[in-house]
Amino acid sequence: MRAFVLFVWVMLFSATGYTLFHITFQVQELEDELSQLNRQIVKEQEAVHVLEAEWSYLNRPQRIEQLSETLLPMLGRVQPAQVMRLEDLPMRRDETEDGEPPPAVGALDGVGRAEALPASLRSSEGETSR
Amino acid sequence: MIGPFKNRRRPTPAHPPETRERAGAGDFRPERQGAFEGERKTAFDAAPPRTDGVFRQAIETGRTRLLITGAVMALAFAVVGGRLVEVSALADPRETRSPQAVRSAQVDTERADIVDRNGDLLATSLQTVALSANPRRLIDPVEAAQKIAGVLPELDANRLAARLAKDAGFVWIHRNLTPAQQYAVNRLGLPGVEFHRRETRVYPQGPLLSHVLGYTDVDNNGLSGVEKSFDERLRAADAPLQLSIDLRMQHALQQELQAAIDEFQAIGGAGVILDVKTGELMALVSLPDFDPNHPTATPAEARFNRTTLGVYELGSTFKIFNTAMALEAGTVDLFGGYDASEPIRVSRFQINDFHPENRWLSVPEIFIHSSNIGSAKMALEVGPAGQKAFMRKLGFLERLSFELNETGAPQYPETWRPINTMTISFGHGLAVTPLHLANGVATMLNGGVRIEPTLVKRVGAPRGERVIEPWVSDVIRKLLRLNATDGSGGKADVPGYLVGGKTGTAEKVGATGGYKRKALISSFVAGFPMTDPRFVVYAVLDEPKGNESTFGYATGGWVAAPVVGRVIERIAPMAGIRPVDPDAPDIRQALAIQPPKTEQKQLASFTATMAAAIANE
Repeated sequence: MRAFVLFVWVMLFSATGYTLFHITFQVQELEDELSQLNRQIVKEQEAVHVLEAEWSYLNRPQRIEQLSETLLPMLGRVQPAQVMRLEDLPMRRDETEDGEPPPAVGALDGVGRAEALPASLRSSEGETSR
Repeated sequence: MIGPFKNRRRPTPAHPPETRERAGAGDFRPERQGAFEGERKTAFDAAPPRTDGVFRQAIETGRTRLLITGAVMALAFAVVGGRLVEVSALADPRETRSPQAVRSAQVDTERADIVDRNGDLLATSLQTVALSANPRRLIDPVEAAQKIAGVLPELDANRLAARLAKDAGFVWIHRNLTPAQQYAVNRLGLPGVEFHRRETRVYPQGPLLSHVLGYTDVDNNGLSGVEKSFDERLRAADAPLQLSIDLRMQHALQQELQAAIDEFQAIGGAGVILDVKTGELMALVSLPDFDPNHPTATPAEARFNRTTLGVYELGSTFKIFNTAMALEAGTVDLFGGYDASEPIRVSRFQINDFHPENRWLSVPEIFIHSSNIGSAKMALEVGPAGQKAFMRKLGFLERLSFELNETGAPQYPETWRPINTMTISFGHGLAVTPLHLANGVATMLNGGVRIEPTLVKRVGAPRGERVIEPWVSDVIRKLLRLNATDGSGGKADVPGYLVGGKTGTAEKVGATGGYKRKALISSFVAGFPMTDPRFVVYAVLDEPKGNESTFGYATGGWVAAPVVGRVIERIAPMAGIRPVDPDAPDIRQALAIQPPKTEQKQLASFTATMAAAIANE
């Protein structure tokens, strides 16, 4: 009986000791990982900071304007007459005067027309043709 | 441990003599030995009977020693184990290492970033590497210089060798290395060469905001512009400093102004876009400009801020203030007018009109024909004291209280005579900065409240000081609109944005005194939309020359008004201002002025005032 109690105590003591050290080492490992991650975060932040400066450099209005002139030559400056409120646009009628349903956007002269439209119009085709 | 046991290795002095005595006793020895033998035989077979006591003694000693050694070892292990538990399990919680994650989302820099009103980056600090050398530790300065110049071609090997040969402990070689250059220098493996991490101020927008931002020296001290006036703020806090500037508007103004300077071969230009309701500067341009990344690469003249530091006589744009002053003082109403049929002669001066009408002109006509004669007579009726007080109220007699340190002090006559009153009425004799004028026009348009201009994005409603009554401001809006539709400002009108503006053309004072007829300051100031003004746009060109497209004219209406028109066309959509139909009945109604033609109304009374004023002079 006495030996059994002693045995139980010894077992409990070793189990406690094992758990204690196990947890301690786990915590240390996590701490190492954390400090490594912190170092990485700081490094990434510095990289982001540099990239932000570069982004801002690449987005100079002057450069955007040049790119627009070379890559989108068909788009000139916005004339005041081109600026309108959405409410001021006339509603599309459900049928033309001779009773036919109106052609879908882009169906006027083939597929090429649809691709020439701005993406915003193409994507909302379903809504506008309603 | 050995020390204390030393004594016990030797037999204690008490026993050996006893043993020897017994050995010497002879006869009794075998008996005793046999008796002992019988007793001990079972336990110690081989033990010689003679040494029995010694043997027991040795065992006792060994046992004691073992016990003590064991106890000491056990104690040592207990101490080590206890310490192990203490260190690894029960250690002070304060000693735990970096238990927190990095929280701040920004990189810690020496100087905070500067951003525009939309958050676009205007200035930031980047980590760079600088290269230095310790000449005392260099083995061969000439060889080192040649090697370094080999990988950094912008350095001159001979000059570098001369610097490295000096008996000094520290010499800068290069302030700003790229990572590739750093690697190349590191590969040379030169002793005595050191790298330093440092910060470099970077302006991604280049010259676009040069005069607003200013620049810093190599040690990151602000030397001009916002960098200087907010030096402490930029060092103290990490949060970016948000300016009122709108990058896109700044670009539109800068580009249009530069195009006009190139077209009319002007020596410089200044431009302002000001929010009339908040006093926020949306754009502030002074040309020629410089690249703040390399401030010393351009001549010092380019670093002069014409918009806030330069003071100029700005010409007829002052007629806006003159008309408002007369209306506010009540000396004339909108239906009154003055005789502009003959030039005014005061001692050796003569006041003429640029576009002479040679007849009686009503107040709106004086405004749109930009009549100097009419304006002079209008000012004279208010009087020098009244005019000076009005200019003071507008803030035209002192420096602007403004964020930049580069602010110019206006120049005005010490004794304000009637002749000064007459010339100041059309913008000569009182020199202010272009920003003063833009701010004055904003006061005229926003309902009559003077708000100090600011370069920092404003939080909350601005506080101002009333200068003119709201109805006067309303009349000024109508007059400016009339001038854009029927007068000299036609080239600035953009259909749909209800632009109203006034030209200004002033002759520059020559080096010898007196005005130069060919050197002009041509400007145009406009506000839009005139039904509810949002922005003032002001463009000034310094010494423009006319060309074929302007029929040789270099006046404000020809060279500066188109700039303002194009700028308005570009910035109105950015500001979300919707174009309206200028011919809509309600718009026409709101901006209409009916100039009545009640001839010769105030002529008699005015002649008397003039005579009195000239007599005083």
